[in-house]
Amino acid sequence: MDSRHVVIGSQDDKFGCTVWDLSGFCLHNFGKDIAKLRVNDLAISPNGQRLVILSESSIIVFDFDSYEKIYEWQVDDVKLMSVTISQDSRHMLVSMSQAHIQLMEIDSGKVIHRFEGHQQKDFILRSAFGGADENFVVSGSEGMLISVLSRPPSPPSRLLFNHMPILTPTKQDSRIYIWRSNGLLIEALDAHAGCVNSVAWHPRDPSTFASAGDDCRVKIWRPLSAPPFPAGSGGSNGCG
Amino acid sequence: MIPEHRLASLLDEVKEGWIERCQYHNTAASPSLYLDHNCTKDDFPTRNALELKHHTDQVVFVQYSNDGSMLASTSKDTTIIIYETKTYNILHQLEQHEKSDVVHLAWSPDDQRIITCCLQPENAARIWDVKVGFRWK
Repeated sequence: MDSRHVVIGSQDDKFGCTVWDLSGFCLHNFGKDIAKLRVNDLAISPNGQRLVILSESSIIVFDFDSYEKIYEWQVDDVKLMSVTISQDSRHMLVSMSQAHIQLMEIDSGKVIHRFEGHQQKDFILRSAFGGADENFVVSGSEGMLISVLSRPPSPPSRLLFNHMPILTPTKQDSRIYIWRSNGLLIEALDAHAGCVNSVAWHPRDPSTFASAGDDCRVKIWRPLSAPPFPAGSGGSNGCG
Repeated sequence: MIPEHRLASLLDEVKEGWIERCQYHNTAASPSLYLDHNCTKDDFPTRNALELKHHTDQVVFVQYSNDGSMLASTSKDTTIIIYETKTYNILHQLEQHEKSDVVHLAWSPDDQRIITCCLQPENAARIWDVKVGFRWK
């Protein structure tokens, strides 16, 4: 959301996706133009120009200023789970059932890369971009690991060193998977006792990310070479 | 005739090749040409440095604020916890989603507010002011 408006997506048939201002007034209802829009996930690009909605079987891209639909891609045979948009507002990461993650260009729909290798059967996995320059893709898994993949540079940005790691969605094998953007699986970390539900990379510090699990814990991940946290960290401040 | 900027583009290609082969490349800085470039695993986050045990049920979602100074987590225990990220001490624990699992949250671009949403029976979205920990709407 930008600081003045909020976009809410839901499984409600009438209010599939709505835009509100901060006083509670509904500015726009995307569900009016698209019958039975049930939103699985949505994302707004950092530049505020694009809204991407994942419904049951299609990826829909809207221009956020005019609320007009730009593209819609039907996807058969797989369920769409979550979407994340890169910092440069040009690419999106779509997580799907059957353990696929796709890196796509937002405006053309071109699939730049596919990532596989993690486990996912029944649950929603979220992926994210991470690391310096968004060089990696990180994902959780249905098997207790966190995966980290690294990401290849896309041709137009060859001279800009604009590489982005990709945070892979948390999977149900309790691992976190991290891929580099060229699709190479870098790490598969044993993370939580139980499903890893969400992973978030620190936006300013590329050597830190956090994970959330069914074991009621939030874990902070740092490099081996990093100094330990000061004593007393992670406690309550006493104000409850 | 050598094309213009040929040396510069050749050197850029060398750097691109290094970065592509560098498995743990995790820096936005351009690599130096004085030495062959390789990032080590030691500088890559692979170690669980801190465990935060404040939630009493499954933690569903975590998200850093846009400037990285705060981390918010939502949980099936119906609360949202906001931590500051130097020592990960709790800033606020927000408890007003009554009896409903809080599933998702988003930070406003200026990090002043967060919006959270929850499941049955409340089925609502709430906006919170982060400085005060007060439910705004």
